[in-house]
Amino acid sequence: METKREGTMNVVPYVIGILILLIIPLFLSTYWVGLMIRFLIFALFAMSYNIVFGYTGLLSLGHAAFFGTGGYVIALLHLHYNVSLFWISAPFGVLVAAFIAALFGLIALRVSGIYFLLVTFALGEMLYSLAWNVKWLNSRGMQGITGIPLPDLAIPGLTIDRTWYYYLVLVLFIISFVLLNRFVRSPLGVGLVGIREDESRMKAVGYNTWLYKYIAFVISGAFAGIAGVLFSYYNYFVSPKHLGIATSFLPMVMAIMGGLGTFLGPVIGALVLVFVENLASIVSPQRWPLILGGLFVVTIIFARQGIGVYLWDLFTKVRQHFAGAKSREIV
Amino acid sequence: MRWFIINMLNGVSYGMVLFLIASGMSIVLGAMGITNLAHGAIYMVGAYVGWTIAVKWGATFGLGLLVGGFFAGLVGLVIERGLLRHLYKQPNEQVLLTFGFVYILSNLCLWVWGGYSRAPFTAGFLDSSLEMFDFAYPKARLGIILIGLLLGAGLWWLQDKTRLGAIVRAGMDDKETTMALGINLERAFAILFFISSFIAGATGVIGAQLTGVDTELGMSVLLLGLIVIIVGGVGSIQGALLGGILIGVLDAFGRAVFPQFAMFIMYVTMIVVLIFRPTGLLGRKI
Amino acid sequence: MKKFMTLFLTIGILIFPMGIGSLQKARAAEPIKIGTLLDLTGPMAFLGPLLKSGIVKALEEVNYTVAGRKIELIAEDTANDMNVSLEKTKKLVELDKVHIILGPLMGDAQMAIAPYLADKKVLASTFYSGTGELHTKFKNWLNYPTTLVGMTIPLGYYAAELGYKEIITLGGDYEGGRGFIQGIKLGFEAKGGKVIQQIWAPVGTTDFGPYLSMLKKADCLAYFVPAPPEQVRLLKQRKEFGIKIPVLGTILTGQLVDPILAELGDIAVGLQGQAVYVASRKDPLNEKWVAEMTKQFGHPPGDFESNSYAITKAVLAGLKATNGDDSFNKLWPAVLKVKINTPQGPLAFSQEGVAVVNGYIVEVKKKEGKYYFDIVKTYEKVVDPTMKKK
Repeated sequence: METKREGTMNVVPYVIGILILLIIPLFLSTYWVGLMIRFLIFALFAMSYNIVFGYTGLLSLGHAAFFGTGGYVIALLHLHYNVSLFWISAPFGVLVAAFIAALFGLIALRVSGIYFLLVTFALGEMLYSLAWNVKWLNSRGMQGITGIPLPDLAIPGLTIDRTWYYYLVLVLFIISFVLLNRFVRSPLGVGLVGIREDESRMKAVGYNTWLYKYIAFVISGAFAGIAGVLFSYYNYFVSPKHLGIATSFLPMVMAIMGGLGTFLGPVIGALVLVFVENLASIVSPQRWPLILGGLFVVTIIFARQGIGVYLWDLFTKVRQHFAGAKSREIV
Repeated sequence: MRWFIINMLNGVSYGMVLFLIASGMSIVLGAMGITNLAHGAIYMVGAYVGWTIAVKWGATFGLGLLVGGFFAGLVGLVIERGLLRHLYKQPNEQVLLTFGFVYILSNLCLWVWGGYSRAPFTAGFLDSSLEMFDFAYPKARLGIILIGLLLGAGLWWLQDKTRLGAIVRAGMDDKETTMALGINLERAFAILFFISSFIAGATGVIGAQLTGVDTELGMSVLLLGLIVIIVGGVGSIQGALLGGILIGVLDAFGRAVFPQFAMFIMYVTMIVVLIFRPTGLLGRKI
Repeated sequence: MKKFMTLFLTIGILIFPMGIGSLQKARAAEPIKIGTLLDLTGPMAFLGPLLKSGIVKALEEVNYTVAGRKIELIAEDTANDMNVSLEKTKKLVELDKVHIILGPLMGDAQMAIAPYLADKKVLASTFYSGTGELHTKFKNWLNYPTTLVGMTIPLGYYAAELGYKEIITLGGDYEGGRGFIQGIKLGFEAKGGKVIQQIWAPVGTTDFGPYLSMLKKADCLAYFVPAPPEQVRLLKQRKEFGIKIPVLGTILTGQLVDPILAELGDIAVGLQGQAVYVASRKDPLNEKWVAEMTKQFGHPPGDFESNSYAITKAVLAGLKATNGDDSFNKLWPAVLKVKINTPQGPLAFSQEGVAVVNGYIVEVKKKEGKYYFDIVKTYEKVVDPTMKKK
């Protein structure tokens, strides 16, 4: 185990990681850059979810509500008001997503455990149903809104294409990563872990656990909103599905697969999901859901702590093996 | 008047199916604390098997019902004994695992039965209408109401009046003591899960009279079950019944009065219940 | 630190071979690549293989060769999902470098990929109609057999010709449904009829009971429902509830394929309505094609095989005319000029890319215990009048 020094961070691995992500587009075709965009967006989505799920211990099945809201705001601004300026649409999208989270939090946090799961699910499905039925929320005659252009950054001489969009996503991802990391290490973040482990004790010691949970919920929703905004630009469309349970499952799957309650776990989970999904459908266009489902099951059986932690343990064992050999030599 | 009665009957018959779906899930959720998201997928498997027996092989509907239920029960048992058993107090893993099975089972059904949705089918003697007052009403739907009541009564009896029910309730509250008393909790859980899955599969065949069978049932039925549980409350048969009938009737009248917003009615009901009684109308406090 | 190593290793292991793979593909030989987006999983999964068989048959007939170049067919699954459709489209265009995409089937998926395809210079085609917007907003889509509205105008005419004065329409409440019903209304009112009630059922309706009890008094109920089980349910419930009003259906041969027709049984006999393709059509080309398809795939062909076959034939004819040049600027005008005979009937294209074909009215009949569709009326060279205004 690495020793943790309070307040400081080992920056080097992060810098290496950023460098790799920066130069990737130079080596890969636009198709793979597209997949990387998808990965970054999902990783952000999963990280936001991890706040509520991994760190606070609240199993939510309606996180896509905030993700989808972010996306819908962008789409609606474009559809009805012809706004495509990134600096207006995006913040607005995030604000509305946070607002929805604030609203839903008030309802959902009245219960916990299984009921929290059911309630968050219900709220998400309600938004789905709204988006499906209300005409104003849809392009003419269909479910969802299409024709969203890539964001306009109003930087003279710069037209956004796939590669530039990748960098935009990357920048936002890094910023969010840092902010979330800060949050998790803050007293508030640490308090959340305490709540997850033993809420009654935290209460007994004087913490306002409801407030902590609520703040975590809203922040988590805001970041999901960022991911949602980026996703709808990436797809050129939003659909009610982005609000519903099919999408709400994804961050949960990614968080669990990657390693719950660890900060990088969701990122690993996102990586695995995006690429396995892609590979599986190349390998077998008709049977890929089988492969995906099989992956979930296998993860649970063999890598209960998540693939990230599993690989880490493996790696540690390997290192120890070699370290052991070395120390035997010295002696 | 006729309009009212028809829609009422439509609502109650649909509500019965919802009740059966929810009761299966509720048993396992309330009694064993297990979140089984594959319940809808098990329903689907039962429906497909029942279809094969009753339509493809031309045997009786009743046989299809029993075999479909039995097969579904087996599937559930395998999942529980093989995998879920290890995850009793871990809801996260249960969710991931059972969700994985939704994908797997849906795709397997696609593989075995192909992508064609199957038309609704029913027993020969139910495939006509009963003359009531001044209109005709499909016998099959009346049959559903009847079966729903019968199964419901059976489940309630199981829950409140049998040793099994008592064992499971005790085990939920205090596992160690229950086991120390020499009661084979593992076996009780296995039996219970089998029953829940059997009901899911049998309901699949029953529900197929209304909606047919397709590979998307895994998700759509799960959704319905969860909504009914939210409204009716977890852990009690009565709650599932109330929730199911309520939603069914609201849905039927909703479609009749403003079809565009029919889906929405279910959610509005859900939200209203959530605001005023978060644990459901008849739920036990968790 | 270790976690990062894990992360990098994972990224590396996953990305590296794919990067290599994509480089290799670019260096391969130059066949003409045709991409197709099919529903291989999801609620319409049964249609994927049918559509594919039509394409495959057309390609086999020319031995996968045109103008001396080999043809490679690349099929991808849309999973009936807009997102997946777009991802696969990107793969086909960027990784496989196709210039021709057949499909997808679903309207929302078409709208999802249309903006992306718009400036990629790819010739796209619907499989079973699509909204008129494909032609007004984008200029690279073929639409077969015609637009949504165009498909049902003949049914409207027919209803009027049967002597009906007032009809009710019942439609699925989404783009497709609205388009089809609009066609019925246009055709019917053009011949002096009046639509006195329009009922819209939300997508996913499994229970038509409530709607059947809402019907006002009229001469006929013309309906469109999005999928076979819903049509079967409607017809069965109509019988169960004892509703006597005559009905006219849509997409009859497309939805009520043989196994489903058999399940429906005697209820269906006498049912009349619109159809795109009729296997029993008396025509030497059609009869030969039906025999070959039945032999090769084990069951008689229906709408979907016929549609994809006809489209592929048209594209092949276009490729022949351009001498194997599959670039959009050459191929598009060439396909628009194509005039061929298909098992469905004669095929030509309007200048917007909308196909011009026959519209059929059919009736379900029973002979020697088997159910089949028979053509009762043919409308030639059906054109959607709303397209002309744009």
